[in-house]
Amino acid sequence: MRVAAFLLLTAGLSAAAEDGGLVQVGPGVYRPIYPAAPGETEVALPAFFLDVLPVTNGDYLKFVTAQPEWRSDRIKRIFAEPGYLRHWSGPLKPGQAGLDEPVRFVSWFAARAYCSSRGARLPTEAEWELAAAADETQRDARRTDAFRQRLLAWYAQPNPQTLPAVGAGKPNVWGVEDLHGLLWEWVLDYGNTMISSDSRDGKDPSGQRFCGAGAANASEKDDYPSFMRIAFRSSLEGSYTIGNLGFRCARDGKGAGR
Amino acid sequence: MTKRFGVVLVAGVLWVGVASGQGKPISAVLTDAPAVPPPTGRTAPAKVVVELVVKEVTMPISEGVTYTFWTFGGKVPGKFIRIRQGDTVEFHLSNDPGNKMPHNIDLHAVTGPGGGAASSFTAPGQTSQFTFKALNPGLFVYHCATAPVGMHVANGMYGMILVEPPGGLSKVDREYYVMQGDFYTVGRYHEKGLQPFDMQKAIDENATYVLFNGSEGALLGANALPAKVGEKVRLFVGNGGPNLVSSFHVIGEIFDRVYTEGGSNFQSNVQTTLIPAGGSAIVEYKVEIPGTYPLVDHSIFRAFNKGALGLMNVTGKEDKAVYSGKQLDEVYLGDKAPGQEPNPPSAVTNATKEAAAGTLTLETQIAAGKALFTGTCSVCHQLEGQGLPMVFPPLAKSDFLMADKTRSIGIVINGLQGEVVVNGAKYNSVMPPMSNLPDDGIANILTYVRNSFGNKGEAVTAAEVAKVRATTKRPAGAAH
Amino acid sequence: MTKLSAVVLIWAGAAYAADPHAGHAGHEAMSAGEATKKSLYDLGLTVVDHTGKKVKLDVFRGRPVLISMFYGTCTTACPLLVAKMKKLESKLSPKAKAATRVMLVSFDPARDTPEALKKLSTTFGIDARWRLAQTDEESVRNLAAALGIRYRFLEDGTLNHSSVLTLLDGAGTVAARIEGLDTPDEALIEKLEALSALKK
Repeated sequence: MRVAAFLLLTAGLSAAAEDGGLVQVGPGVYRPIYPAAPGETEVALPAFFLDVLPVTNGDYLKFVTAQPEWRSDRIKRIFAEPGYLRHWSGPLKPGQAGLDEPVRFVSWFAARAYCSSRGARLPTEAEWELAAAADETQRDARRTDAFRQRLLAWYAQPNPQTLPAVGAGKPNVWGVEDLHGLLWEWVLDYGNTMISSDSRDGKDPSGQRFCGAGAANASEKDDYPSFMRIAFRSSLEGSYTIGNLGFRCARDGKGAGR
Repeated sequence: MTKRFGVVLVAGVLWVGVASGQGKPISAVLTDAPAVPPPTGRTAPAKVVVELVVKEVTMPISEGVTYTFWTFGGKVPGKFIRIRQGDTVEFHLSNDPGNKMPHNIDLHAVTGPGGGAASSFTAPGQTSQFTFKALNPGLFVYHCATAPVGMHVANGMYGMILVEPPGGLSKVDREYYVMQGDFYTVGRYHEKGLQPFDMQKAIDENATYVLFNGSEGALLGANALPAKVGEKVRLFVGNGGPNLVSSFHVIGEIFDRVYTEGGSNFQSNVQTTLIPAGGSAIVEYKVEIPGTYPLVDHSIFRAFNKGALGLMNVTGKEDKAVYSGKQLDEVYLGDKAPGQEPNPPSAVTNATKEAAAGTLTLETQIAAGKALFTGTCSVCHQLEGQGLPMVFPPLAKSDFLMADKTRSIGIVINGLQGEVVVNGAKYNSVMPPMSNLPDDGIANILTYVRNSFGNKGEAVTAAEVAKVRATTKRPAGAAH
Repeated sequence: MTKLSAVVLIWAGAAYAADPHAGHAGHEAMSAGEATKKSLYDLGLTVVDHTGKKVKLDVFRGRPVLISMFYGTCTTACPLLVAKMKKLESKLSPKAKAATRVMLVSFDPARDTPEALKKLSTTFGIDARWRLAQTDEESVRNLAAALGIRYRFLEDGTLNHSSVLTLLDGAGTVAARIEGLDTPDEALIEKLEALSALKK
């Protein structure tokens, strides 16, 4: 058991060294708040790699320099609304935005393109949530009152004018940092959780998204932080750029494709 | 020439017909509580445009206590909307780009999925729009319906929309907007600083604050609602919840009419009316006698220990035939009276500020202590500390009080029972423990008493109070 | 004759201006200037249609296009969507119908191969103005995001997805959009007629 743990740890470390900042998360079982269908209450996730930190302004500057079609003065409107990178003073000038601060005001399309440029991708919601269920000592802290209160306290605070630099907190048990308490993050399938099975009957599947319908079908009625993240994600469209929304990248586990 | 003119005329008529629907759109007048928009005065339905912006903003909830509220329009409760039955409302909901959360709106006046919630779900920095027709008259609550709904409501996301019946409401002299809400903070009542929301307390329905119009001073002091003798007053009273039902009562008044639950029929001669969480009531009464009329939730601990207290100040000529004129305030208000002298509420804030900066002076403590003494201690020990002969011992020139500082701190925290001799007279009464007061509050009160009514003594510090609190036992049933 | 067209134009223009964007959560209001910039064709997607031909998504550039997404093994919502679209077409003027093209892209390229799509084209009974198409998984995701369509694969291989019908103008920008199979289509039809009238 110890040997296996040691091997896992070193596998994670070597992966981190090789990919410059990812660690292994999982394998694990993800229990979605809104199962895709009755009976799909557990999703087995293979191991995958996740960025330790959110993408920073510095990282993103390198990207738009190398791929100028993603500059704020050149990007096609279908890929991002006009607020894209508005916290920078120029298309290639972060200005007041610190290089170590998480990049924000980026759309889903732009985030995908960045991850693609690194040979990576956005994490799926299941992957992100699996990583985010952990605190410093346990893999699934979601039912712990202290954990929930910590998250709720952050959600209840207003946005600060500038975000702090990444990496200021402690890593969770997987070694991932800043999943909570810094900013919201894009996932690959941001809008798809609250699609109900009703769509097969031709009824409005978005009915799941609101109010009573949302509460009635949730599997875990007390996990308010998860509710709030799902609610936030379901309000998004791919071209949106929001001041407290950034992202990080992921990769398939070893042996899988990209 | 005429043919062309005819064509243009037809085109113009079609344009007007298609583009305007019910005439030129009206931009709704929205007001912050306690103000109410004027009656629409319209005799026919119209198209009304409502623009509401959601803002997440940190504001005071009580003296020295702040809270991050989520608001419709920047304040709690949200803006009051006034329309007429049959109106078509084009609703624009914007989510300020500086906000953290998505929001939407459910108006109880809307007949349609989610009351509009489905169509108004909005991410920060975006605007949503939907249109509804107001089919029913009445006074309706609106609130945010984004998951988790309880948290959004608990943070202040509610307000009211009045749909006037055709012909409007009867004429009155004053209209006011009052909305009750319950609030849940991690810290205790009056614990200073920025207080986060406490989800567990909300689930347990264990409110820290129960307030009218979103803050403890919203209808007190200079913010009391004015009226004049002889005027007819109408209150649009809402209850945003999230949890508690209100037993709404105006001390010293009887409601001539209550449109229970904001509906179309009224009850007459009502003392106290129930307002459901997520519901409303319209109350009307004529003020006959000058004086101060407290608005309370008659679940009385909420009024005196959680802040569910507001005031209406009626000025004008007395009518001794209706009321003899003895001031109502002292007897009724129990633990919490409004300042009978113009004690600036900022006395307490000054003390907190100075204490935090380490520059607390005797004068500041005395001023803060006086503000707290009046209405709390003065109820029994009287305003000049003279006490009540044979019942409550005096504090003025009290040998018992001034002999032992530590003992006096203990008495305030833990109460006192049994026989004591003060200034040569025996007293055998019960003083309840005041352990619900914070350390700095007790220190300021004792400093005031020890330097007033002919007493002269040194100040008491919050640290000394804390020490006594920690080293003595609370009697059974006392607040922590 | 020109006066009559002038009247129709003014009236159609008024109808366009008066129509509120009815209830699309988060859908941005588009000014005239901005609308010309947000083109779906900028996605640069390529698809393979049911005739086996590889085309770019903007194959119908210059024409009004009705675009949506579906999957072939869908037994209820998708046939309903097709039926809705056909019903919509039957309400169009001959000129509008002739000008319009239809593009239906599959969520499920693995099962909806060009051969499978060809069979479906017969089942659905479509004419030459319609294309059933498939593309790679990345492009499916990008197109769905751009159209605001949400979908989720289930373990049994079926899909939950929202039903959204979008009208693109000749430049590929969104001129109208209806979400849900029961949503009325009058406003979309009006826009389509207006776009067809503008097209020479």
